[in-house]
Amino acid sequence: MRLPDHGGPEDLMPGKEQPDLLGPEIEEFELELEKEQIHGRTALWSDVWYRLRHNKLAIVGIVIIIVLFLVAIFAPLLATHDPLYSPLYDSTVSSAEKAGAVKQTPNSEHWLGTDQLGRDIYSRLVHGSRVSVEVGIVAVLISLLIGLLFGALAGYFGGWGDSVIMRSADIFFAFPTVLGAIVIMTVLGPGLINVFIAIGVLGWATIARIFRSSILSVKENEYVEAARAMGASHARIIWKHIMPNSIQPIIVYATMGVGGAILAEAWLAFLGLGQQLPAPSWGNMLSEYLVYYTTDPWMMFIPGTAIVLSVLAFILLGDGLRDALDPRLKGSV
Amino acid sequence: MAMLIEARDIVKHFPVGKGLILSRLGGTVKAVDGVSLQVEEGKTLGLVGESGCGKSTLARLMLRLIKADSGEVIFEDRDILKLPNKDMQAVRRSMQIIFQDPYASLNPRMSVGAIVMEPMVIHGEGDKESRRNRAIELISLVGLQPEHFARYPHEFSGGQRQRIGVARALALNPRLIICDEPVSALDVSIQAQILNLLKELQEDFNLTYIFIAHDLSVVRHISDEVAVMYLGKIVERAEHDLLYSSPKHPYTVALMSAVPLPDPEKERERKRIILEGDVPSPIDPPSGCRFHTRCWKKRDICAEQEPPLEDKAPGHLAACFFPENL
Amino acid sequence: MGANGERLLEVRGLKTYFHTQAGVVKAVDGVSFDLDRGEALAVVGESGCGKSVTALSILNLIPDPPGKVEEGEVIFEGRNLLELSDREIRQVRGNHIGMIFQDPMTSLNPVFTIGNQIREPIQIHLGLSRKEAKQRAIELLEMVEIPQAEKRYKMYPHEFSGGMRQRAMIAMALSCEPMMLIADEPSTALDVTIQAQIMELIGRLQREINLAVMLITHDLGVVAGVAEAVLVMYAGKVVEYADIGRVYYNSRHPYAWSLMRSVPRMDEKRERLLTIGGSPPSLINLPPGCSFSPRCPFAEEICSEQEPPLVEAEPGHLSACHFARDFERHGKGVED
Repeated sequence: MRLPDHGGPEDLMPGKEQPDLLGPEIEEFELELEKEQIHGRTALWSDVWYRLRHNKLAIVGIVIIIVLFLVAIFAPLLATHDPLYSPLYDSTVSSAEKAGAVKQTPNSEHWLGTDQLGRDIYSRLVHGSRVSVEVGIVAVLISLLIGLLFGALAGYFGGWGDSVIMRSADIFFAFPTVLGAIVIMTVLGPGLINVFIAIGVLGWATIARIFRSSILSVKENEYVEAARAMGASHARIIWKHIMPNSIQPIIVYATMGVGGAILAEAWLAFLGLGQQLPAPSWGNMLSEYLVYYTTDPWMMFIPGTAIVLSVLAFILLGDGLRDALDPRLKGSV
Repeated sequence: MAMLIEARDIVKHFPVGKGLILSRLGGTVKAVDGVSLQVEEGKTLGLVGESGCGKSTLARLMLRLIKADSGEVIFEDRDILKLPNKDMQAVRRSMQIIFQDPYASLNPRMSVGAIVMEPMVIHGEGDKESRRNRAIELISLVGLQPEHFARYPHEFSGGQRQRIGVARALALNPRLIICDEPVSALDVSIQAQILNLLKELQEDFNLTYIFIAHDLSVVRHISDEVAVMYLGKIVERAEHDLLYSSPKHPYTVALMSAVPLPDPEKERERKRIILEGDVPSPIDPPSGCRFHTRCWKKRDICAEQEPPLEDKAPGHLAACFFPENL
Repeated sequence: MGANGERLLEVRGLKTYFHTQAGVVKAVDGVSFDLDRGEALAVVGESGCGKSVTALSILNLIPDPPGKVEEGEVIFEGRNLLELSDREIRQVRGNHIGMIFQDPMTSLNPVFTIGNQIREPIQIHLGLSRKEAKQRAIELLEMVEIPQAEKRYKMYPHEFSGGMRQRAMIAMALSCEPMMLIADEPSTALDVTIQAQIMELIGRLQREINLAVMLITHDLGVVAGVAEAVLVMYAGKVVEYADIGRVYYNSRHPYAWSLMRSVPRMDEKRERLLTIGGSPPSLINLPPGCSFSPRCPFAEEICSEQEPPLVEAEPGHLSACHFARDFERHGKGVED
């Protein structure tokens, strides 16, 4: 050991820290997990993607969703026939041919067969995917828009505004989505746009509630107080500090919500309130084909399977996202 | 020297319970109950007290992060509690806060650079380029590396995070920094690093500190003057050396005696005053002197009358009828 | 290091590793020490040094996976605790070794009264009747100086203050008259005046009922008045082990030596505190040689090349430093 030949002891021990020597992982094993929980130390997006990538079910969900979106985008290219063309209404087709054109089982010409009007089921399915994707996205966007706005107002400012918003949310909660949508649809009339509105409007309450409670916990963090001490505006605090740290549960819920909206559209279409015939949607296809469940049950299974698979895909992804965003919550929600 | 900040008779009572009816029935937490203090420019006031004494609330009242019920906070010769929001915004440049918890006080979604630049962005200081340069300068100033600019808080240890918090507080060249227990959440070997850093910065930039702590040992190294709080009131205030050499209020004496010394022999010889019981609830604080329920010197008058905070020796204020060390 | 007393606990070469995605965390890496009956040992170190994991390993409380006690022996009254069955170790935990933690609220069940929670283990472990057990529980509450014990017996944890909860936890830990108490940062979460009360209580119990105490802490001051021996840990290893006077006044390891000089003290004002640079290292990626070498004020070439063994720097004073034997001279040099 050498004796110091310069300065006082503090010169020997510079106040600099070695950045690469630290290990947050150790704390975990000192059973200080709670410390992390209290501070809501959350992973950044790269960690989220890392965990998501290692979740097989989530990957299955992602693959199905990508396929679904590609099909919806390129529907006109992928469809082999005109989804509306029915040989029954074609005067150039002979009666004998007409009889043979309907309810064909899958074959090389019609990959998924034809329906009771002789329309190509595969092409109808491909075009119908557009309705599902549109409803899923638009309805959830509407829910998010309303839900995030009111959730933020209620959670951040509190007070009587909070009470008013949350009590109205409770009223929306009282309605089962489909029943509520039926009521709204009877007022607005059938049609795809109105389906967006009905499902979207009904979804805001849950989002507002989740966002509000998430904000309530995030807003206790000292970095929010630090921002206030700096003189940051409410808008900046909400946008820069609260949003990024409270949005995770919303991402999870919205992802699953897309699946929910697809299912709700199918319900409404099944009841004749959604996409109007002859334009195809998976819901109205299911409703049309259900009639033949005794004679030709395979027909209804085609749109049915499509609906189930897409809803499942969004649930799997949402589930995976929840675990990836916050591994501590695993199995608890 | 001129006073940089002065608090006059600040009161803050929090209603217990929520809603219109409950809050009236449940009484109030008398978090800060008539506190006055002042700090000279370039000096450090140590504010010491146990949990629930109101020291953190007082800090937030002086920064106007919480609205005071009554009282004045004179900063740069103006009562900032009465300023319109717009003018307050300008004052905020000059007063900053460093928090206790280096994990909760940095936004985990912002890079170190963004965190340090944020005050400049909020106050529209400089352009992108100059803000960036200033942030890098600040990061180096607090003992981190410039390449830490793009990293995120979770990649740093507690001590390093606290340095980031210090850099953020310095961004706008403030005159006053309130340090709310800045080292109590840190590992022992790291505490001295941060304390020394704060001292160096004070010398270099003529900063004024209000340094909050829950025990008297940390404060000893950084303060010029020390104020001791108990249940929302200041019970003793004096120059650093006066307070440590001859504490007047029994609570201060007990608090000093409770701090353990890392010295086995002294510890064993020491006659320790062990206070009985816990700190009473601030919802319904004891009558008269609030400390009388735990005080070994109490007499009848202590429960009946509140002792005023007055000079017991030149420059040595204490609120006690029977002070020590006279 | 209690040379005279009757040996109660012997820990030999304890290694506890955690197997994680990022790699193997050597939380405890070859820790040995002894504890006599009625002796108070302080285990001192910063977060992540392995002091809590050591305590949990003794009681077989390491969550497995990811943790595992890889090697070592924990001989308590002639039995190796690491080889006991679940049933047997539960007996030891209840009857022979009590443990208290930093945050008593997490160890108390909020829906049962304090009395209930103290009484039940007494009924189970000592086989007393409900009435006898209640009597004993009230005596315990009195022993830990909880006023109005009979009234407090019927109260719930949330009606207790932090200090009272910690007292209740101690009462619970002592309910079956254990010979040893492990206290993991028992006063860290408490206010200074309450902290003094709790440490006073632990010291009194140690003397009066001849309780062996293993005090885990990061605070060199807290244990100064209570402990007889001190074990200093750094990055999973013992770096210094001696009786308290030797460690505090005549440290033979640069970590303890500089730590002692870096903590702010009540009884003196220093213009500048001595600082230890850097932060404690990651246990996954330890620096080569001596783990403390990157932060060590006296480090030389050998320190980053060879790991120093734990050697006897002077009789009864173990230190893991290459320069342990002539440390004093150099230490003084730097101090002046």
